Amino acid sequence: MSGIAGYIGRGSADELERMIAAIPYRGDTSDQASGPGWGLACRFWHGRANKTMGILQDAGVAVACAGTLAPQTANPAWTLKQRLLDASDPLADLDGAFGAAVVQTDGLRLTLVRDPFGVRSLYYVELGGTLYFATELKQLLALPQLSAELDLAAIHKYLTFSFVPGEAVPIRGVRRLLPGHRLEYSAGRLEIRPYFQLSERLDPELEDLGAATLMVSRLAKQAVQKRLGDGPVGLFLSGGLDSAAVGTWLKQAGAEVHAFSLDFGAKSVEREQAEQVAKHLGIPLTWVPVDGTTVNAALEDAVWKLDLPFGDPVTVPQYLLGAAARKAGINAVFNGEGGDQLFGGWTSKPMVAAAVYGGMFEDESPEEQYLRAWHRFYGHEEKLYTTFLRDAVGGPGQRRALLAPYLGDDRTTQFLNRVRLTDISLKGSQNILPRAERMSNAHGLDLRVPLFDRELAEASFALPTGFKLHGACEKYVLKRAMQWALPEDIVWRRKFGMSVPVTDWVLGPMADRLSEVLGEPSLQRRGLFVPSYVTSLRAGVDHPAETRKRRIGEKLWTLLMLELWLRAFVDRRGQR
Amino acid sequence: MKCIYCQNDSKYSDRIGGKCPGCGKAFAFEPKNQDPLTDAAFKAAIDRVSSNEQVKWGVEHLRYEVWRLLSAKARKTRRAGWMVVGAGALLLTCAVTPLFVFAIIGGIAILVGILVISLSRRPSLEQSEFDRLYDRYTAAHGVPKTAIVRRPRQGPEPTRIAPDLLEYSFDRAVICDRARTVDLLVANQFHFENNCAILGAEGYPKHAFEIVRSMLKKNPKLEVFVLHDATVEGCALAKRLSTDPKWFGGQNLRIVDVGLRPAHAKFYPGMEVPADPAPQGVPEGGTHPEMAWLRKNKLELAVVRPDQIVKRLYRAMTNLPEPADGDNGGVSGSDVWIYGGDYGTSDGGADSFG
Repeated sequence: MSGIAGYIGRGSADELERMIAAIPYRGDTSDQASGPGWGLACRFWHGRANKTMGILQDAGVAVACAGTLAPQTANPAWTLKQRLLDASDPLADLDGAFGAAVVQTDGLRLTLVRDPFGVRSLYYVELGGTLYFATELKQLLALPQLSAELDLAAIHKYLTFSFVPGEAVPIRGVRRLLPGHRLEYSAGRLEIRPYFQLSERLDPELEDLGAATLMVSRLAKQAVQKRLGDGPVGLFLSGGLDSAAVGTWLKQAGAEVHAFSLDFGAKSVEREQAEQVAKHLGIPLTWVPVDGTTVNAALEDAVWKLDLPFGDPVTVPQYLLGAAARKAGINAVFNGEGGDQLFGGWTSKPMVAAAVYGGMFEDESPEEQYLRAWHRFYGHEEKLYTTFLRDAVGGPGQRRALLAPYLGDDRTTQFLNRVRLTDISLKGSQNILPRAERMSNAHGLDLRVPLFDRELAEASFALPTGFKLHGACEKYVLKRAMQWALPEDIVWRRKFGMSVPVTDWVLGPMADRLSEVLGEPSLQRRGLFVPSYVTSLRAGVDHPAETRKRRIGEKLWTLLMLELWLRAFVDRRGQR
Repeated sequence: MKCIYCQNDSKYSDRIGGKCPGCGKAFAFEPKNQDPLTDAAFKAAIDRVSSNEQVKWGVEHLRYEVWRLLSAKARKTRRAGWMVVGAGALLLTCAVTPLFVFAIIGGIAILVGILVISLSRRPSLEQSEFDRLYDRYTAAHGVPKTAIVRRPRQGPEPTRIAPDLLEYSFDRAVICDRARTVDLLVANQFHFENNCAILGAEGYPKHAFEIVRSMLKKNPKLEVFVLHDATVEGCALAKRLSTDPKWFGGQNLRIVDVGLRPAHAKFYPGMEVPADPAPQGVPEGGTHPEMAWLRKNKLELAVVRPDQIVKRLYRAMTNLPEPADGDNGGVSGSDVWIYGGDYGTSDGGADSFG
């Protein structure tokens, strides 16, 4: 998909050119428009359907739009302009994967708007009275007047979550517009407000399981249909229920589908299931081999295109999937992300256990339990952080404050809905979706995520929670919706999440890379982490009561991706 | 004697008022006053049981750790005693010759050696003696931060547990014969890491017991694991759970016994203690040789270090084979499996439990 950039104030054509040149992989064509006090630029793939080709200028309004709407429209910029400038409830049902800027050129009023779930991103920074914005951080770093000074409070959050949550990003001064929000900027005044917020609205009519199942099925099929264009599409098939369900709905919609699955060799956990689904649906399936060597080779490019540090080891395999899909001539891929967040997947279960047993030995808030569930460095700060980092991260409570609006939301009566709200808002919108989009677009692919559909997500908060987590059966209503369309064991099998053999990689074929990137000289130079602790992790030593070997790999991967990001985005200012 | 704060190695005469001459902090123990160990040794036991302050533990685990430490000390003394006896015997052999003085020295050496050996018999550490040592240590240095300390009122009030939680269940349940084993697992987040209910067989934790038991009924594929001491009641617990309708009687579940059994005693030499009188009506939960051992002895789960208990339980959960077709099929009632697991080499307690 495409990318945009722009300014309001004393910017220049040269700055626009720098910002749009920073993302060459976002398209083969670029366009610019500017006037007194404003400038817009975009980069796009020429000839792709349902995209805006260039900057739209009409009757004192200029629009730059990256991405697509759902349902798709021929010119998203035109649709957005009409919707945003119509004062009567303009964004009530706006959906898709987009980031857009609308400039009313006569009064110099800027509106930035980002899609409801954060598939696309928008960053902004105020420099010398001029507001600059762009769809990627590296575009803002192309401005020489922006100092690439590290915000260590953002790094502190990354080390807990494995991604950077919230409005702050690790470069001081740069802010991120949150998903489902719009920003208005005029005469130096900046105002941000949400246009979309999920909330619990339990519907008594959906207490009937049959009615609930029918509704989920209808809306999910509709969500896929809304995102279908012309031509063949790819499907990232894991072998789990969610991607299999998306494959089913794609086939039912008559789409020409080609599936791609990750092959971790002997470490694959759902290989048989992926084959079974592809065969059942009559979809051709391409296996994408992934091991420590292939991951190592793709690492630098993936880090650069991820734009922000993401510490989940699934990113590079996703990058390799994207490369395979592009090689097969595909322009758009679907995935099954969102099923767990919408319908109460297995990740909800630890929070249920924590809620029942919480407080037996010490006061522990749901927020603290949720932070621990990330299994990175929450609670291990004393071992990992140098004194310098500890002193620089700021006061306590920053991470809990990010969760409080969701986990502590009194208007949400059901515990599971509070957990799901948190999962969607943080894990989904600020981690899963942006990283998946960036890894697909690393190869010029459009990413379509039908389960993160606005109507479907809103409906999921109208369902009784017992239809989601039903006893110990997760995503119950989705399973009911799929039980006749897919093989029984695909639907009813207990799911444990994708298992990426990251520990094998980092302690095996990538060990040399780690000894350079996370070796003592490198760590001393950076000054953030205690070398002896990282060295012990590299030797395969973790917490003594840690039962899962993969946690060592996840921790090391988190540190590896951060250091590589620091080199690319702080040391080299986003340049390759 | 070394101070645990400043590492200053001081002489008895320098420790005025039982305080370190280096930093002024008070010592809890004074070997010169017949205390069986030093502050540094007690702290080393705490470091060991907590895996260097990373794992939560109960005082019962620390008692066995201190016991192991005293046993190791006694072993060293015994070894020295045997060496003296050996030297004496050598001298006596030489005394066959006219050197009568050798015979006297050798005889004395043998007597001294035997005295040393008899005085350094394998020690036991009575509960009251351990309590005395622990109270003195905590009075001087505070309660170690990894010690499990129950709050006066545990957990949320049942009425404050969100109502929708009752609709959910757990993938697994661990039932323990002791409430303190529940504490150990919950304090180390085992429930959270493994989506696991953890209950004491006798109703612990009180605030959540019936709620959790009702939640367990909602999972027809529940996996049940049992952790217990090697006692008559402990070894019978899995069977009891499989037949009691308040637990899993009448359900087709697999119940895996991961607890201690008499066979484990060989990994913890000298740490079995006399059995309590078994209450009436407890069914036999072991083979004939096991029952013969259990009637005389018991081995507490706390003899195993906390990190090893957690790891063995996790291994039992993840290495569980899928039930073969026909396993339990059509049979009303839950099935009990004894988990074998693997046994590493023993260092007297650390790595021998699976």
